[in-house]
Amino acid sequence: MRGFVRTVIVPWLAQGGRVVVFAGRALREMFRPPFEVRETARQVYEVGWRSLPLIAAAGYAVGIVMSMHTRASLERFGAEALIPAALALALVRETGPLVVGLLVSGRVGAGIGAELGAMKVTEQIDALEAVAVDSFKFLVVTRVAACMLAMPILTVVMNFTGIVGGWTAESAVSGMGFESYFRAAFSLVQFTDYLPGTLKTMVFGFIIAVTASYLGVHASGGTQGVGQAATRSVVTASVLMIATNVVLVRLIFFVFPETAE
Amino acid sequence: MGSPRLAMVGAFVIGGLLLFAVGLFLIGDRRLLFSEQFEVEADFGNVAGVEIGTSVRLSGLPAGEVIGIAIPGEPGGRFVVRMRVREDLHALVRADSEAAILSDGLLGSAYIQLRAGTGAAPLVADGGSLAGVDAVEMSDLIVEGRETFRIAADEMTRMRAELSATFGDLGDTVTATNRLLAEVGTGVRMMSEASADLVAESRGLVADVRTVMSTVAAGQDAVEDVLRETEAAMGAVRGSAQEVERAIVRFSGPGSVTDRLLDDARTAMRHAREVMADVADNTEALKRNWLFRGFFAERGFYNLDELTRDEYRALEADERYTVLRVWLAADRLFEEGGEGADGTLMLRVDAGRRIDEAMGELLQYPRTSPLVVEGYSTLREDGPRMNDARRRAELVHDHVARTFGRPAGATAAMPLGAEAPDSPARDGRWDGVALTLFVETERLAGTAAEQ
Repeated sequence: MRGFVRTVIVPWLAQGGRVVVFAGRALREMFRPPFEVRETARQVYEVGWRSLPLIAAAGYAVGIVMSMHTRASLERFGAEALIPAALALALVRETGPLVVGLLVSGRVGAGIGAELGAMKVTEQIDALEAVAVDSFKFLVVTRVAACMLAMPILTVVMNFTGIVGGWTAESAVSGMGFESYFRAAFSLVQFTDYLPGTLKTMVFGFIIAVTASYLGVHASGGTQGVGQAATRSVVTASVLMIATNVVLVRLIFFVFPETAE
Repeated sequence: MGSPRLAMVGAFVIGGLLLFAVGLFLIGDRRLLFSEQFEVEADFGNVAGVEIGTSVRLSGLPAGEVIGIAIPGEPGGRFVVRMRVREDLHALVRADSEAAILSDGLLGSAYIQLRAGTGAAPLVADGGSLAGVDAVEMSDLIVEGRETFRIAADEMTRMRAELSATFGDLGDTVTATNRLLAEVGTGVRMMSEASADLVAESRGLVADVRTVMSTVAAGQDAVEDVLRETEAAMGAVRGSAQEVERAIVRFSGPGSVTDRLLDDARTAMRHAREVMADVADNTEALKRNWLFRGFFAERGFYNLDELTRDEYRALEADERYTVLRVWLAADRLFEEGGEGADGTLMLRVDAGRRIDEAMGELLQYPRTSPLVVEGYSTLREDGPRMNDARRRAELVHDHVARTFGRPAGATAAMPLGAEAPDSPARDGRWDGVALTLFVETERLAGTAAEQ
C-alpha cells in the first residue's frame, strides 16, 4: 500500500501541483508587461476565427436536433409555444458553453499540445530562451489569453446559430416567422442565465489552454511524445472542463439563486 | 502576421461582442431597461409561481415584469408585489384596476394580468397600489372539481329516483287508458246491440201489420171501416217505424253519435299508441345510454336481440326469473325442401298446431314475460350446427310472433347449438327447439296463488 502511495499517488499529486503552479504563473504573467499583442492576436486567429465554421455548423445542427426533441416532448402537453424559449434557455445556460468547450478542446487543445510538444522535442523552446525570449510568456500566456478571449465569442456564435437552427426546424413544421421566434426564444432568458453561461467559458478556455500548454512544454521522447501530448491534452482538458463545470454551475446557483428555479 | 489576418481577428472579436450585445439588448428590451416605465404595487395572499422577472400583462399585452416581492411581517399579512410597467400604458392603469395572478395553460409559467381601469377613476401614481386577486391553485381546482362531481352524482341519483317514479306513473296511466278504452268499447257494443234489437223489433212490427192487411183484404168490403182504421193505424205505425229508422241512423249511420264516439276512441287509441311508441323508443335509448345502462340492467331490462350466447346462459341463472321450458323435437316440426325445392328448412304442415299446443302451456303467464325460442341442432360441424339451430329458432319464433302477437322486444330467437342440459334427452343434447319463458319469480308466485 505504502509502495502504491509512493509510486502512484505522490507523483500524481506532484504532477497536479506542478499544473496548478503552471496555471498560476500563466494567470499572473497575463497581466504583466510586456504584452505579446501580435502573438496573442495570431492565436486568437488560430483559436477563434478558424474555429468559427466548426462552431457555427455544430451550433446549427444542435439547434435543429434540440428543436425536434423539444417539440416531441412539449407538444404532448400542448405547450408548443414554449419551444423557442425552452431551446434558448437550454442553449444559453448549458448546452452552448459545454459543446463549445468540448469542440475547442478537441480542435485547439490537441493543436496546442502537439505544437508545443513538437517545439519542445525539437528544442525550439530552448532556442527561444537562448535568444532571450521569455518562452512561457510568448508561447503559453498568449495561447491562454487567446482561448479565454475566443471562448465566450464562440459560445455566443454557438447560441445564435443554435437558435437559428431551432427556427429552421420550427418554421418547417409550423411556419413560424424568424423575428417572432427570436423574440419568443429570449422571452424567458434572464441576464442571470445569459451572462454566467457565456462568461464561464472563459474558465473553460483557461483550462483547455493551460492543460494543453503544460502537456506540450513537458513533452518528451520525440514524435511519440508529441502524439501523446496531443492526445492527453484533449482527454485531460475535456475531463477537467466537465468537472469544473459542475463546480461552476453550483457557484452560479449560489451567486444567482433565481437561476436555480 | 499580415493585415488580412489581423482584420479577421478584429472582425471575429468585434462581431462576437456585437452578437453578445444583441443578446443583452433582447433581454434588456424585454425587461424594459431601454424604455420609460413606472412602478405599481399589488398585494396578494398567495403568490404561487410569481418571482422576480415574472411577466406582467395589461389586457393580454406584454407590459412589464415583477421587480420585487415584499414578505408580510406577520402571519395573515399579504405579500406586496412590486411591478415595473411600460409608461405608454400608464393611461390604462387606473385606481380601480386590478392585478391577478394567472397561469399560461397547465404547463405555462405564472404571470400577472392587470385589468385596465375605467375612465372615471384617476391614474395610478408612480409607486401606487392596485387591488390584487389571488392566484387559483390546482389543488383548489381539484377540490372544487371533486365537490362538483359529488353534486353531479347526487343529482344523478335523484334523477334516477324520479325516473323510476315517472315510469311507475306511466304504467298506471297506460293501465287506466286500457281500462277506459275497454269500458268505452263495451258501451259502444251495448249501444250497437240495442240499435240492432230496435231494428229487429221494428221489422217484426211491420210483418205483423202486413199480416193484418192481408186478413183485412180477405174480408172485402164488409169491413171497410175496419180497413180505414187499419190504414190509419198503418200510417201511425209507418211513422213510428220511420222514427225508429231515423233513431237507428242517428246511432249507426255516417256521422252518427256512435260513429263520432268510435272516431274519438280510435283517435285516442292512435295517440296512446304513438305515446307508447315514443316512450318505448325513449326507453330503448335510455337503456343504451351508458349513464342509465346499469340502472336498467339492475332491473332486468335486457335487449334480447343483443344478447350473446354466453350472456344468455348467464341470464338463465338470474334468480329474479324462473325459466319455464317446453321442448319440441325437430322431426315433428321441420322438413327440408318444400315448394321452393331449394333444400331450405321449413315448418311441417302440422307444426303450427304443435307449437300452438306448446304455447298453450305458457299463455297463463304474463304476456310481457320474455319468450326466447331456443334453437338446437346436433349436426356434427360447428358452422352448419349453429346455422341449423338459428334457422329452426327463427322459423318457430316467426310463427309464434305471427300467431300470438306478442309484445315487441319480448320475443327472441336464440341459437344455442347442441348442448341442452335440461332437455328430456338423456345425453344432455337436443335436436329441435325449446320455448323458454322467463317469468319474474315474484309474478310467478302471484300467478300460482291466483290459481
